[in-house]
Amino acid sequence: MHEDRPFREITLQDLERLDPVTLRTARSCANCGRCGGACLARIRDLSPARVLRLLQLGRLDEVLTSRFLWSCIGCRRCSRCCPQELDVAAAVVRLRRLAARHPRATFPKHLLRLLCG
Amino acid sequence: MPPKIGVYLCHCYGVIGKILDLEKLSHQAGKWRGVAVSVHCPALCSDDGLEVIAEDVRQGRVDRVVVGACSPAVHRDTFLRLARQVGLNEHFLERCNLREQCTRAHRDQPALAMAKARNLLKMAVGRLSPAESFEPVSSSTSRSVLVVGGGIAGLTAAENLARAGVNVTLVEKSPFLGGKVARLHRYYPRFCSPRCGLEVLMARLLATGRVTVHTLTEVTGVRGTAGNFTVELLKQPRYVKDTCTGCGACLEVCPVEVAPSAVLPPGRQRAIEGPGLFPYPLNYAVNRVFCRGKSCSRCVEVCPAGAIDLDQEEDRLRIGVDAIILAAGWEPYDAGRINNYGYGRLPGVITNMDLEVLARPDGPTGGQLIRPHDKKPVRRVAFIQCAGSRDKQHLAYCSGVCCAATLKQIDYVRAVAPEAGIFVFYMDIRTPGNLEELYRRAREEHGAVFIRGNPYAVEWDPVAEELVVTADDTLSGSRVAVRAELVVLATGMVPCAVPAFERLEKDTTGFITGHLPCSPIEVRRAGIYVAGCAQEPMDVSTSVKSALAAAAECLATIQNQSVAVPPVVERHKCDRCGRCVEECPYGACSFDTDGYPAVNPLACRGCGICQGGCPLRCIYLPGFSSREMAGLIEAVDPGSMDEQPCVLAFLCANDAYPALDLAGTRGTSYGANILTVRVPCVGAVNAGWINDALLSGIDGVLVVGCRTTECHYGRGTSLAESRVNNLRETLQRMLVEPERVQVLTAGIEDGQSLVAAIKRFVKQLQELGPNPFKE
Amino acid sequence: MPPKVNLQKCDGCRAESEALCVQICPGDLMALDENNGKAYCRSARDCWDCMSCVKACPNGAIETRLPYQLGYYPAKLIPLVGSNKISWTVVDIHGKVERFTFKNRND
Repeated sequence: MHEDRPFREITLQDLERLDPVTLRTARSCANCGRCGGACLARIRDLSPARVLRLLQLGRLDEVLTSRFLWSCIGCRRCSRCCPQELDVAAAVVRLRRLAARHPRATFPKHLLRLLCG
Repeated sequence: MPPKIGVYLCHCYGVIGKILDLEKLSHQAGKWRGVAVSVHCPALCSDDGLEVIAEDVRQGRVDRVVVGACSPAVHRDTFLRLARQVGLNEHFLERCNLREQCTRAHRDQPALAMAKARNLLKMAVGRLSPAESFEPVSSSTSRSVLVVGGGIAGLTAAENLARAGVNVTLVEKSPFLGGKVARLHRYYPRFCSPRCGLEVLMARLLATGRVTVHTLTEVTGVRGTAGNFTVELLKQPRYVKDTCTGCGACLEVCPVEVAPSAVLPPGRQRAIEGPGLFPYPLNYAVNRVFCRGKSCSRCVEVCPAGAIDLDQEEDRLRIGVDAIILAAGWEPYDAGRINNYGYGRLPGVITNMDLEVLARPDGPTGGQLIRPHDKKPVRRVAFIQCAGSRDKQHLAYCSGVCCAATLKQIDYVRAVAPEAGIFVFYMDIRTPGNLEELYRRAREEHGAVFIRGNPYAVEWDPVAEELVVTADDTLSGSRVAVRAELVVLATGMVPCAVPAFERLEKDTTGFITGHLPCSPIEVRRAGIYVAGCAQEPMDVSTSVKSALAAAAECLATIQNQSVAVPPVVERHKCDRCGRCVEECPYGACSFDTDGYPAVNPLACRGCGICQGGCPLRCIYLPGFSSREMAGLIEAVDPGSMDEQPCVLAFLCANDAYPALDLAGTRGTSYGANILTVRVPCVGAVNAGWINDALLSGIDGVLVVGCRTTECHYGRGTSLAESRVNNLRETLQRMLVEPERVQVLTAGIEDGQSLVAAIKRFVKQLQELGPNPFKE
Repeated sequence: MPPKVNLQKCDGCRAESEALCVQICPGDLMALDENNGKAYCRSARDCWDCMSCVKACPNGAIETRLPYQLGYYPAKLIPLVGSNKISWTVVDIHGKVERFTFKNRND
């Protein structure tokens, strides 16, 4: 009777923090998963496909606090193999800008000074 | 003989009669030149009302009729039937809209409504006076059709037409009939052998005795128009005569082994081939590309029936047909272009179509599920859906049938390998209707594992000698790998190109989809119909349905029935400039032997674009001759609008006129100074009429049509816009305000916004003042 | 003096058959330029200002300048052809406008 897995309401407010290009990339994604399979830097918590899916569900914070964003090596396999020709790699890089400012970012704080602004 | 026009006004049970003083109108109309009878009745559409008109016609009191009543869109058949019954030519019957576009819309301005009604009636009389009568044109055709393509769509269409009494010529590029369907192992939904259905179809086709089949034949040229096509055919030599018994002795001795494909084992492919499981025709065929020629001649010597003749040459034929059905089918997308999946490079990677061949008992592995190149038994199969489909780098569209095809093939795998592991990598499973049953069966009964993720690559493990497919399973969020002996790519469909039909309009997918939804089968060039996968990707059942649809459409063209009157050409005025030929969207107008335009009644769709563009107004649809239109326009009294600007509006019958009717029916009110003329398309509006209107003192002219991209005839609105723009430039130079002529567009439901636009136009005219040409 | 063709309005009579201005010019002075498929006057000095080309053009793409003896710039003479009538708009050098409409039997 008790619910230990409550339903999570989908709220899209956090997406207002996204720039329009990244938002559009996330919306256009058909969730085929190919970029996820292609990613060389995928670590246990996320993959490019998963990142876009979470954005579609408005779960920006989970994306920004992940370690995956920082493990991306820029090989661009994801963008190259996307059937919708979405620039997934660019979206990941853009998300880093937001992630660096997040209070729970997994980005080493002392390196924050190296980023302008 | 001067015309005897009868003017009949309808009270419409009071709807018209309460606003308009029909007694007065009728009395006035009776005094106009050419009007012999002028009466008003409670309801013209009733039996009594119709009888009034009928009796006048029968007694010879009138020979032309003006009906002032509801919109011409209403009671169309009522008055046409009346005309036919009393022997009145339908072009001598003119409908005047006194209801939807008069009394209903101008209830609050009865005086102005009267002025409008008087003008509209006068316009009708002015148009009818010089009108000519025309009889529908009867075409005689030889009732013969060409079907291009001998697959299931082509065969179905040919059989259907032949049963209807039509002579059919069927051409097929390859040596044998049956197309892709003949090569399938089974088809859904009943999992029977396609050769059974094809056999039944062929038997019925041959029984008609009206189908001439040419295999190894291609269409090299098409000229002409509906009812009169001339087609050039090129027939390649078969090198095998009709005495062939299909014994296969030639196959045994042929020394040539056709180089095996990297994917399928050589099998028994030689330089001579037989028909396989669907023997139509039965005769074998030599493939001259591989054959060593007369220096070898082993097959010639061994043939017991002496059927092989290596001296045969190609043949060129020319036939005349009334219509053409294009059913050239499809090719699988070249899976070799999908680099990461290794087709043609990695052993064991095949396509859906390859698996059909493998599954057949007469296939290279005898129907066993073993890997083609090394005969290793297959214990695990992985299907990859959307291979090269829904992908901007390959085919952007979905071919619709590959999901069902894979699910069907899972059944094949289970039948011969009950313990095999079956994995399906998919993006979406598309099984509409009862094909959902195939999906259920694959999961419940066959135990296939479905992984929702499109694999990035297929790799080869050289140590274990097996394929590895990896993908992101988006449903669980984890990365999965499957090891398999066989990977089947579900590739999409690409239409077969037929060079002679290259210029037919295709959509972004490259298929010939037609003008959806109004004309899905007939292309713009009348008389050519598309069936089967040439039209769009479809499964076998849908191909058959589409072929039957094409046969039905085709029959409507070639039946020897009367058709509507095509545009009339006044040769004494025509200077053969050819603009009508050029602008016709359907290619229905062509030059006859004297160089004058001639319209093919079977191809004409009655849009009137030819009449709209003619600089000399010498081609016109019945009712739109320059005399009739001049009569209509000159009948307008621009000064009768009580200080309001007088506007003449041409409205297209498809969207604009019904939109205004609807606005009136809903009671939307607008000024009664708008006099409307119904045209088949705004492309039919000739600039000369607009000039006449302005020179007669009419203050403004509106041309209202469908929105540019929605014009039913394609280019009507854009042609009207460019003609009006040209006129406006001239008007400007002549110091006449170009704003007096405007093109408006409206959809059929846009009555309100159309009325608002008309009001804005009238306001603008009020500011401009009266037309400089007004007396 | 010579006919001036508005290249935006001229469509070369779709180059299908003979262009209308080319057909009607009594002096055979109009031709289609090979490069752009549009009409032009081959010999301005030979033009007699009959204005047949102006009347014939379905797009109204041709205008003529009046010879200076009749009325120099900005005087204008522009026809508008209807089904059974033709109207001439005359603008004199002072800008005064007069319009004359005549019925003909061309319908």
